[in-house]
This record gives sequence, structure tokens and C-alpha cells, in this order.
Amino acid sequence: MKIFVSLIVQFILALCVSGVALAGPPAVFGTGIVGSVHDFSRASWNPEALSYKGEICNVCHAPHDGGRKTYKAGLLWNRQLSSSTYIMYDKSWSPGITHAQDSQPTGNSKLCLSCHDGSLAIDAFGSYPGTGWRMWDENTNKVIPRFKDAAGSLDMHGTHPISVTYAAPGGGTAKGFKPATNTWPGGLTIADTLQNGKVQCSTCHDVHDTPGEVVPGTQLLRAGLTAKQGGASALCLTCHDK
Amino acid sequence: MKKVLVAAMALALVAGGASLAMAAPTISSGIVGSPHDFSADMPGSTGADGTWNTTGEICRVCHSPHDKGRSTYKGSGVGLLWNHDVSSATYTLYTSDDIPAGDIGQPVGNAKLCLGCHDGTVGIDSFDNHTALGSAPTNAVKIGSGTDPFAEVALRIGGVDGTNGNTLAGTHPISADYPVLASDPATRGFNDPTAKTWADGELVSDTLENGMVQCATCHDVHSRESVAPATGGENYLLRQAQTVAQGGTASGLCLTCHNK
Repeated sequence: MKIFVSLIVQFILALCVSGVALAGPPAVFGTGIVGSVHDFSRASWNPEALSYKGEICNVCHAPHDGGRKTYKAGLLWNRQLSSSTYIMYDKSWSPGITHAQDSQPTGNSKLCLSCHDGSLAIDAFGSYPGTGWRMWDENTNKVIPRFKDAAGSLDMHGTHPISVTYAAPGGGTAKGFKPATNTWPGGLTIADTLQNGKVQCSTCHDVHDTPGEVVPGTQLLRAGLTAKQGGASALCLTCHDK
Repeated sequence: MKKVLVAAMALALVAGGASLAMAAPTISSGIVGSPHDFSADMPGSTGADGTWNTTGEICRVCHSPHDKGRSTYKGSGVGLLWNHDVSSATYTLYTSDDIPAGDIGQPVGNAKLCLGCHDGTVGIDSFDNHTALGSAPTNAVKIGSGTDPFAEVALRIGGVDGTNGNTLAGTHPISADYPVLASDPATRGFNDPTAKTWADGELVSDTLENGMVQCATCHDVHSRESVAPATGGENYLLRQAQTVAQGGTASGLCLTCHNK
């Protein structure tokens, strides 16, 4: 009996200790693009054998475009952009959306979608036409909202709205939303992660796994989703005042 | 003498009105720690309500930022990144001699989402992609049945007859138009929803869905706009206090809409 009680006490103690550990912030944040999920320098489709490949940055950016005219959105962009038309997650789908939204994805989100909508070859960048290796071949779960459904449409009804104006871009408040001055665990404000005041993919995700800005073990998220990652639903509750 | 009485009554009314206006219940602080925060219900946690919330997230039980093609955006026409199964039950509807036949139909919109748990036919753990996480939904943790605290029958709306008969006959009408047209005789007995506010200042009309009264008209699921519970009491996530003990006035909730 005594042993049983002592076991229970130990169990409770263990729970308490783990509880303390869970409550703490993540000790290490993102460690940078090198070795991150977006470091393709060793990807089979980006071989060093080709003189202009085997790089990290070149997959998305080029210091000089060699007259290819892919400078579509600044950022020394080095990829073709998808010409797809998407079914947007907008107020016609979710009437609670009352803020201005672009009718199609804009800004940084277009850049993400150049791979993540599954319509373009990942290895088509720079002057290289690619082999047709698409996100579907890489990892079907990374094709954002299972874009290519049976109808061949690009349906975003299953994914968070993008290219939509944040409720309080000026730092003021709006019902249901935190002020844009609220900060992510890494220190940036919400406003810092909006683009022209709009929520884009990059508002939640940091593509470069920038040191100090990404919670490890997540999908390049700026805040965690679980207690182990720094707080239950912390990501959502950074913006949503619920 | 009569004049004095009338004056006294008028004064009493004014005083009563003043005290009504002064009542200011505390507004609750949000989803964290509220009755709909299920983050403690994860395996290995200290939560007492079961181990059905696989990752211990709060929002994911109902919403998901990306559904990974699971086609779980089940709240068609509702959106809200809905991530929980909804009920396929057909309900016995509320009827009343004062409500014309056909004015109340099967629940639609947000009310369907609430009933996804609260009619007791769908497992609380039927959300997200349990199979991919290595734990298929048991569909066993249901409100009003099972072995954990959710067995509380009072939380099961449609089964109030104790037989899980999916009847809404004993509960306030939902998915029903709020009478607003001046020409509608039914507006008698109702306050103007664009003039009346709940405890947190929100207009009644803002808590209607497409002009309809829904569960969310009285209850704020996120515990962000509702009245904070009195010490040791419950608030049922109500948008206005029902009692003095809750920081309001007697039947303050009902009388926000009903002009009685």
C-alpha cells in the first residue's frame, strides 16, 4: 500500500515537473535557412552538377536575372508565378469576414503559391525549365489546401483567408482581433508581419526559418500551437481576441 | 392623495430604471480557461475530462487553418475554418400557437455547429484528422452519454427528453427570423434589435445570423463577450446576466429582446 501511495506521489510530482517545463517558452527558435526545410541545396532536383544549381537562395532569388524578366514582385524573384485562378476563402464563404480582401492572392502569398499550389514545377527556376517535379511529387501534404480537387479547381475553402486586410492595421483595436501592435514570441509585431496591412502566408509562417522568429518543430510558425511549443493555440490567439 | 401616490410610483419607476441602467456585469475574459478550453483533455495531461484532445490545442477542436484536403469544411455557407463533424440528425422542431407554421425550420448556420457536439449524436473527439495522428476518433465521447464529465445531460440540447430523441421542442426557437418589420404583427412584444445592446455593448442585431436568432444570439461560445460567472456559479456563456447574483437584473437576458 505504501509503495502504491509513493508511486502516486511520484506520478503527481512528475506531472507537476512536466507541467512547469510545458509552461516555459521554447528554448530555441529558428536556426536559419541553412538546413531548414527550404534549404534545397541537396535536393535531388537541384544538383550541384549543374553549374547554376545546388544553391540555396537561387531557387527563389537571383542577384541578376540574365534578362529573363522574372522580376515579378521585387525580392529579386527568380521563379515563374502561378497563373491559376483560385476559389477564395472570402466573405461569400465565411460571412464573418468584413474587411477588405483581394479577389485573388496578392503579394508574398503569390510567391509561396508558385510552389505550394502544385501547379508549377518546383525545379523550374532561373533559366532552367524544370523536369515537371511538382509539390505533389515532393509531399502532397504541402500542397496547401489540397488545391487540385477532383474538379481540377484550386479550392481554398479549407484554408485560412489570405490577402485580407488585418482588422486593425493602424494599431487600433477591432472586435475579435488583437491590436496590430501585439507581438509574436520572437518579438516582431503583428503589423511587422502584415504586407501592406494584409494577412498573407508570411504572417504566420516565416519562410526562411529566420533565427529568433520561428518555433522549432512547427511548420515555420511564428508562435506555437501546443503547450510544448509555448502555449495551447498561441499562434491563433496572437491575432484572434477570443 | 391620489397625486401623491402617482408621484411616488413615478419616482419608484425612475429609481428602478436607474438601478437597471447601473447594473454592469463583468465581462468574461476569453476562451482560455473557459468551458470550451479543452487543452487539458490531452493524453498525459492533468485534465480530468478525458484524453480525447490529441494535441491539447484549443482552437483546433473546432477550427483549422489548413484542412489538408480533408474536406472538413463542413459548415457550408458558414466558413469559420470549421474542423469538427456536424450532426446529420433531423430534429423535432419547436412549435407554438403564436408562431405561424413554417416559420421555424431545421437548424441552419452557426446553430448546426453548436449541435455538432450538443445534440449528443456526434463524438466531441470527431475533429481534425485523427487517423493521420495515429488515433482514430472513437466517436464515443458524446455529450449526455459515456463515462466522463460530458455525460452531463443538461449540456445536451436536443435530447432533453432523456431518450436522445433529437427534439428541440423544449428549447428556445433557433434558426428563426427575429421579427423586425414594422408591418409584421409579430414585432409586438419584441424590442428593436438595432437599438438594444448586450452586456458588452454589442447590438442584438449583430448577434443575429442573417437576421435569425441562433444559439450564438444568447451564448458567446468563446466566453469573450459573455457575462463572467458569479463566484461558484455558472454563466452558461450568456451575453447578458439573468440574475442579480450574476451582476445584472432579474431575467435581464430575456428582457433584452422580449418587450414584456
